Amino acid sequence: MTPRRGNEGGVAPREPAGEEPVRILAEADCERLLERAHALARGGGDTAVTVSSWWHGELRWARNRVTSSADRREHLVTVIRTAPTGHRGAAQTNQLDDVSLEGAVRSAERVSTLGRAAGRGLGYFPPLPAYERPAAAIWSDATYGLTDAARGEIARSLIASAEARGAFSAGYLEVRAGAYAALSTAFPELRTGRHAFWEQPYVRWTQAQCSMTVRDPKLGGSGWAGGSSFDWARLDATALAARALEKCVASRNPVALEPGRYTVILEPQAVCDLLEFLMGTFEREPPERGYRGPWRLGRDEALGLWRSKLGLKVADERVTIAHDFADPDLGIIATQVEDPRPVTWIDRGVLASLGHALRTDVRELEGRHALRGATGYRMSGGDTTLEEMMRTTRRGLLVSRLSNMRLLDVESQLATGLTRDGLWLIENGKITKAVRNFRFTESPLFVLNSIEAMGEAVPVFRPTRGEGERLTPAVVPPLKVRDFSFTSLIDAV
Amino acid sequence: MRRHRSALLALAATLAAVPATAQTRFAWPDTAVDVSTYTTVQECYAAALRVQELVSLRELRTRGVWRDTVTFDPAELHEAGPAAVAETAQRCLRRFADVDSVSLDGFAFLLPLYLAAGWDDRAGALAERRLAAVAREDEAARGAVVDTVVAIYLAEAPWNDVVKPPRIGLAHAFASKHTPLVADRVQRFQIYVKFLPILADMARERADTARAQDVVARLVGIADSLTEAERELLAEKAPLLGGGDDVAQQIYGIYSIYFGEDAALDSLRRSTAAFVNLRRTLWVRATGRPPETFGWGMPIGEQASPIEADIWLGRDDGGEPRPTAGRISLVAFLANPECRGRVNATEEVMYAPEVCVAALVGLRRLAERFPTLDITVVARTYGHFKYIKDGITPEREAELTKRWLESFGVKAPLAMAITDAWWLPAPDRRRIEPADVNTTHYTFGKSWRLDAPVEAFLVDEDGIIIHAGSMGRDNRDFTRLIEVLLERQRAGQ
Repeated sequence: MTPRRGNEGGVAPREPAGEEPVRILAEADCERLLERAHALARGGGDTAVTVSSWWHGELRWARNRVTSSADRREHLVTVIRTAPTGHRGAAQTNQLDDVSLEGAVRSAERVSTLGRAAGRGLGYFPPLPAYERPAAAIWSDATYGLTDAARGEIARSLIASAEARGAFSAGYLEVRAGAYAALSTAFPELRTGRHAFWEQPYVRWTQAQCSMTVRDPKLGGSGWAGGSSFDWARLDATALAARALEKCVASRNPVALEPGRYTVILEPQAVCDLLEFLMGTFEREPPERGYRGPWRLGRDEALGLWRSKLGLKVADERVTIAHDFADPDLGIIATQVEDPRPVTWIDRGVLASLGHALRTDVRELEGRHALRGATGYRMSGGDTTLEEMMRTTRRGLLVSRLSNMRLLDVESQLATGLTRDGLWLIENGKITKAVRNFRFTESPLFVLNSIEAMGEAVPVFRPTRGEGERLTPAVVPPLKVRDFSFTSLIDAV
Repeated sequence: MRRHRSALLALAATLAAVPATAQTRFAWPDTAVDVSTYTTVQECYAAALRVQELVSLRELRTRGVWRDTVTFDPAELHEAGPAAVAETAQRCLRRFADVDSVSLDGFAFLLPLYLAAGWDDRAGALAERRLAAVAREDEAARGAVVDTVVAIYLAEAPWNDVVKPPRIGLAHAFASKHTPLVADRVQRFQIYVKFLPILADMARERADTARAQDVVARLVGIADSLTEAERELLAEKAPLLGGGDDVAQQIYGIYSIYFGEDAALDSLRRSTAAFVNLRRTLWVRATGRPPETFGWGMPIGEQASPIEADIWLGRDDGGEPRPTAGRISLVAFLANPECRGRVNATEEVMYAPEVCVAALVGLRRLAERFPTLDITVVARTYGHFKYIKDGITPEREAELTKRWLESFGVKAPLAMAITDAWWLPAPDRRRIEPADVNTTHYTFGKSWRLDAPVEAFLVDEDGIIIHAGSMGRDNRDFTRLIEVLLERQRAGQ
């Protein structure tokens, strides 16, 4: 019998002629797809289906002209069939009609007949406790509703403000949305309600990010401003443009300074840039397996195991770095397997937590959850304003942001990179001149131990990059730090 | 009028000449791959790799068996590569076929392609030409070229997907001719070491002992005169070059091959003491280390302690101590809680890590091959079975473990010691499992640990440990020694 093409089963979301295509799948669509794919399975065994769906609406410009504008989207169904023998096969499709879906299921079943012998698989773990999950701030209608026309209008106004001052601007404005759902039939005894711990019920999220650089082609100034949030309404594009322009104007005619150690005032964005490598290290497996890294303490020969620096002081006692799924400024998506409670990574200078996989928790800690590292985070702040920090500085530098970072040593987290888009000399409490950019060579751990003052923590620009990627927000304060090491002058603007 | 007529004639003639080219019929683009049009050797190499992958996939689909799940067959070493790969290489190499004029730029791709094409003579000529192109005074480059050529001939990774079978003859001839001219003795050693894995396998199968003896003799010649500084340099380079991370172990392996495994087995036929003495003497000569450090603490010659257990299952010997006096015994420690798995109602193994499956299948094979071998499986309680604690008593844990072993056909008696665990204080919180009594008795020195999924000790009839190591799918060392021990026992009866 020839299979009929089409949507008789009503699986794929339909778009009436002339209407905008579906950007991300709604919960009901995902549920129908999951159910339909499960119903198509033949021959026993288990079926796992995931549905992921994302949309990116983006606009880029350079030299005051829009260079690209696009709306991209993708819906992807992944089917994993496990034969009764334990052999597995997987197939994916981005076509949501019945025939394609059935093709994916059959394909997964064909592959499962080739399967490897026992030895691969999930294994099994105890059932998870039923967590009370906080409502995270991850969805914004303002973000989802920012159409290409609206994005164009915003870009036009941003460009116009730079053009009016005879400057060149470049930047991008991007709004994203994603949705994900998973359901399998395996291990019914491990289900808390409908879902097992490794399955994500339907979740959707949005992300908005905007970045703008303004250059003065004649006098060599450069300014930047950017912001990212799940909610477009929280980003003030006009204010971003004004800040970029203001920095550009203020950084004209930079003078060269000798490299060396300076007291610096790091604006929040520079602090976030500096911490970027460090924030990826909050995991307990590497130090406890003996791998080199910032949190490895050493080998405990008496117990025959590697010890981490958990419980030891690693930063200034004013420093606390934490995440909380319920933090309205963060917007982090908790996975099913994750402990949804707040986590403090560094608590008043002491290394208090390290992330770990579910497997580690079950095997070694007698727990039942995973703890993802610090993907999104909030760093404690202080009550010193930038102006006060400057006023109390006899000679130092104000740093806007850092770029082109490279990690030099995993143990000390020593990194090198460049200052960009605004660097100023402070003398006797006042900004006296713009300064040419430096290469710096410094460790965030040294910086977190050399703090003189902290300002109010604010959301900074920490965009997501991959297609359909989840949110990685950060809330970070400005810092006044002594003895920051600049190692050479660079020509970059 | 005549002028008009002639103009019309000229126009008609012009139109008649072009109509065929003015019309274009739609045609599907030609998507058939013609590798002879490829213009670089890199493209040819990629094409050969793709064909190799396709052939492997097709073979898998036809046979339905993954090669890594069946025991290693040394005959595989001699198997020629697929004809399709040879044909692809030949077609693609047409423009690179003239060995006297072809550019040497893509040498590392070209030489394996010549071998894949079956053009061994041209490969030999190309290798000689490449070596001749090295400046006379550039000793380092000369050594590097010899190293590369030998690696390609021997089909080392990454060339093993294209070069099939390894050209041991070509490699041996090339290395014999050129390696003695390499000034750096460490590099010379490393070139000869490349032969070891492949020649050791072949020598064991009595396939190519002459070449093995020749290479090993050269290695012993260098190893015997290595200075301490050269040994240190080797130790530094070995991991980087993909060799074993312990040079002394490597050199001991070379000596074992040189002096013949047969000599060791002969000594075992005579007595356990002679066998232990020979192994330790060879160890001292090869490594310059004390005899008691043999094999980094492998406890040969030590007295095996009787196994102590709180729970015995499957035992029908009336409570005699095990290993049983007067019998050849194998004590197998089930040393990893991950290596226990679930067996469902129909006795199918639902999940097990691959290394555990390999170890248990290997253990079953030994039991089937040597029915008189006295096997004891030793385990300990963890207070959970695959992390499920509900209803888990020590007796239940032992019962589930026994059932799990039997699902692999391992019917040996199980000795289970009841042990307690404790936890490090917060924030570390790791579970610490003190060694049980049997683990303590079978831990010899600091460097010999029971950490493989299944760690086994072969014990002679007097309770002396003959060999120790982890079980795998291919336990050749254990097999040969058990054969000799049983033969010796029969001869003594």
